[in-house]
Amino acid sequence: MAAAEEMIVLVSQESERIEVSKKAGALSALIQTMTEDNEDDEEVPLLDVKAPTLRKIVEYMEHYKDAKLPEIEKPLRSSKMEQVVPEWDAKFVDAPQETLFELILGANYMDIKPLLDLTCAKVASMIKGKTPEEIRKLFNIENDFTPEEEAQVRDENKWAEET
Amino acid sequence: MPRRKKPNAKRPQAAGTPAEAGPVASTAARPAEAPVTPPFHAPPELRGVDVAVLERFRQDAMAQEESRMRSQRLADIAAVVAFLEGRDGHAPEDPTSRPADAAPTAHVQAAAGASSRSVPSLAPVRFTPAADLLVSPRPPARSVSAVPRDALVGALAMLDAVSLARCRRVCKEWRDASGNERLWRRHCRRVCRLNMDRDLFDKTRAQAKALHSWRLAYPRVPQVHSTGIYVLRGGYFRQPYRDAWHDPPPFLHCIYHRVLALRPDGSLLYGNIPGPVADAVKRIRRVAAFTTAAKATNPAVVAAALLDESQPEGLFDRLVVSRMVMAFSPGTTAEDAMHAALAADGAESSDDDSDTTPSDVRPSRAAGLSRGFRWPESDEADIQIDSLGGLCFEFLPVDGL
Repeated sequence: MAAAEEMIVLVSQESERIEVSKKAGALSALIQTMTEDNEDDEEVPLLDVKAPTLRKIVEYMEHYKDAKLPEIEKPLRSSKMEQVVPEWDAKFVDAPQETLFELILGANYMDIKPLLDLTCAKVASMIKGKTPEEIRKLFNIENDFTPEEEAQVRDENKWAEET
Repeated sequence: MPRRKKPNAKRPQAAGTPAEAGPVASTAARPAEAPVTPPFHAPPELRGVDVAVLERFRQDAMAQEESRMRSQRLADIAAVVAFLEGRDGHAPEDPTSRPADAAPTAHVQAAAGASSRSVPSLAPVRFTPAADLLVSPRPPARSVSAVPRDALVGALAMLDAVSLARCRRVCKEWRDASGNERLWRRHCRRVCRLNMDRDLFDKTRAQAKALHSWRLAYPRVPQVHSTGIYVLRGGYFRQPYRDAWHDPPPFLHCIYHRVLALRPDGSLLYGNIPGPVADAVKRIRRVAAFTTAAKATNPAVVAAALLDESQPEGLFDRLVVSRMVMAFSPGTTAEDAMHAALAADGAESSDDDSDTTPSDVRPSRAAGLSRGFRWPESDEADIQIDSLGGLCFEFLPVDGL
């Protein structure tokens, strides 16, 4: 690559302009489709993605523009991310829940499969090995079952319960 | 809810705004509501999915988001009202200086119907083109409920079957997401592949069809559950004592059952039984329950419990049981427990009845056992069963007996 890298401008929800190299941008199926046909105008509006999230996603795409994307083994062998994905990836998704969910939405919207897999794996690693009560507490989820429904689910789940 | 819908309906149709240009627009039944509610971000693979399902999910998401946003909206209104009442030359576009929660003007209009009596000063607010551009489609993703269903399923797809089953108990949304048949089909396929029986997946498929559910078929696939009771049927050829009546002596084909109870703490109860399997299973289940309740992990205690259950028939051979009971520290996996059991089994076979069995007929028990089990790592060559050895074990889930 002798010449300067071709850049694409991504526009966040707050109209912040963030540059990404064309090669890195290609990780996103959305960016690829949107830049495919109009060669002259390389500006991609991403009105669903907030600037901090977009910056983080660009960081991810730039990191993996040349590197080989790691496969994540399913089902996860461990609830520790470092044992499941490369160290850089594990650090990348080691973020507060809100950031993580924004990343999922962003990766989903921008159609970046490996990032979606990585963020999903992070959520899965948070769930793995926890009881339903612990999961509810972790994600602040309300138990909205009626007693009958709960009894039915519990009955179907008997084989998975430890005690 | 109804009070909010009125002002929404009066909103200028936002079909042209980029926020609505996504795949959602075609599936959302009531686009007039979309600008002030979080739009459902339909991923490409969900296109073509039943609109009613999408709509239900979207409405659930709306309802949740609405309650969360209400308090924030009121704060926004208060800020705008304060600004309007004290008009002093600020730019009207920036009343709250919080771009992430964008478009307080939109909130004002949304709530105008609700609070117009108490705040008449809101009337002069007009939408400018700039304000229209500011309309933010999506509130910040504060909780996991903001994650679209397919991404949640994507996360659940990374889980093992037990964790996935537990997710069903979290809430209704998660119950539906973790009931995804494709996930359970994959788990069935995976566990069938670990099994010796080549036709097992076909059998499982038939069962899933009968039950209309791969999820319900999954626990019925014979496999090592961490809380299960298993029966190994073993047999070997053995030379009887020489007597005057048979010369040369015939080989006896001995069959025995070995019952294993895997306990949640990682320990394993293990016994050989000459009696009927069903009785032995009942008994080991009782012992397992008793020792679990007593939190007995000391092998001596567990052995005592086994021996103390003094059934007249003596289902368990005392000597064998007291020797074979093993306890493992908490956290030991079932697999580790089994390997340890196999090692002990090998040691045991070297010192009993070795004098009565010709070594060329009977391979070592440990070898037979490790052939009979099929662990994930083993490849095809390892599970060939020597027909002459007659050592053949199979796992029978007890509920299927």
